[in-house]
Amino acid sequence: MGARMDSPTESELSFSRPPIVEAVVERRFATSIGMDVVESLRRQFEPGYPAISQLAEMSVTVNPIGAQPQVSHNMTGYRLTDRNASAVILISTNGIVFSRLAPYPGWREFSEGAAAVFQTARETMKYSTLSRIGVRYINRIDIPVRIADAKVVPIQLEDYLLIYPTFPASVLPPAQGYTMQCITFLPNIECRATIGVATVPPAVPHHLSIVFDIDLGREVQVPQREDEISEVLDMIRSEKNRIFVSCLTDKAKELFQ
Amino acid sequence: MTISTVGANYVISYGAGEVVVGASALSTTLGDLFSQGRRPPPSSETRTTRHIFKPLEETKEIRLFNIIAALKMAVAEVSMHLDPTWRARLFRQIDMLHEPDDWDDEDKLADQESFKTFLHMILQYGCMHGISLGIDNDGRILAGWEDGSSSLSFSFLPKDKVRWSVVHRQDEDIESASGISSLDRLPAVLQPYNPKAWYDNADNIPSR
Repeated sequence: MGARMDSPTESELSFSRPPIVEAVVERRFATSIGMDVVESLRRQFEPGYPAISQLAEMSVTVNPIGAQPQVSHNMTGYRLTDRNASAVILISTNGIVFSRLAPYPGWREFSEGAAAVFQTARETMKYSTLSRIGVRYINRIDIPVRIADAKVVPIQLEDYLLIYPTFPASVLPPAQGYTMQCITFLPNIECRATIGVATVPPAVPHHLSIVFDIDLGREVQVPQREDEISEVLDMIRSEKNRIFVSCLTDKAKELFQ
Repeated sequence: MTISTVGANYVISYGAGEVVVGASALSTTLGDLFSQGRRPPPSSETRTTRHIFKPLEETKEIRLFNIIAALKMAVAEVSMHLDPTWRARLFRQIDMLHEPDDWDDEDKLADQESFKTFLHMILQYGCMHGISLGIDNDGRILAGWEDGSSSLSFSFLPKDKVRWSVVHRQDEDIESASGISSLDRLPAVLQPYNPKAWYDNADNIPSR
């Protein structure tokens, strides 16, 4: 099967049960912002996103000459979730992430939701140079497990996804699970693409679940103006759709209808 | 040693570094630093900055918002397999179960593993109608139906196990039974009590 280079049409992407578990837009800051700004942003978003948890990182400094190791537990930001658990905002000293959970409402509603969050953030924190803008779509393919003659019928991953691991059958028995990541640069949109494929615990009983994770981000010539950001996000979206459609088989797409 | 304030926090600067603490940790940290000060610092010690983690004050409302969000997120993860109307009704039930006035600070919140088993039942056997949900004192999710003197109830345990209880009226006789089964075995063990009559016609059965 040859790889297609054109963007898929809307009808090719129209599924009654889209496999998108989470759609994410990230803006990363060139220099870290202060925790006081993070706190201001939290207060700003809190009314619409009342479920709050803290983001923290732990570091341990070990001194080789015998002093006690130092453990620090630093708060880096907040995770805020809206009342219906349909949208999540991550605010940290390094960036802001807007995430839309399933069911995916379509690009228009998703990007408008993200734009509203970033607009509010910009009004609160003023200007901060961006070092990355990125879009990530985490898809999960739930494949029904069939039983024939009281035995589980093995699932051939290549029947569903065109990115999969291969290895000589004489070396290893069939894989029970796998994780794969492909990183590449897409010169047409000047973005780094990180494509992840992995088996995960089944989300639905008697199914095999595979995560198909597409993460595209611009880290060079990062646009700073809202109109330029919007333009780049549209290009990223188009490329993400092309990758999505090109890497799935018709048999996989049937599962989403 | 100097103490200054940054927002709601205190910055304690001392010989070996700085510590940033919230008000609640100020006196403990000062005591700690004074006792350290009586010991000679190791020659290798370098100046460091520590930011002491200040946990967010968890009010009852925040705890409830967080568990509502966690349960709805679990639903969202499998929402592509659920009927949107049924999902919306489930979300309303989750909200109703977490009315702040009905909860005390020490009440145990819903157990997410129990809720996962409930969701697995729905995914395995389809959206059940007229279902009435509850949460017991141990945080387990309960589901039940009632029709006159007959009733069916489930208590969802972790790892796809269900404690079930049925009261079945047959003419003038009333039978009752209960047990613990795996989700896979549930239809078989409930078969004598015609469980599909509960689920399928349940829109006509008033929920508890």
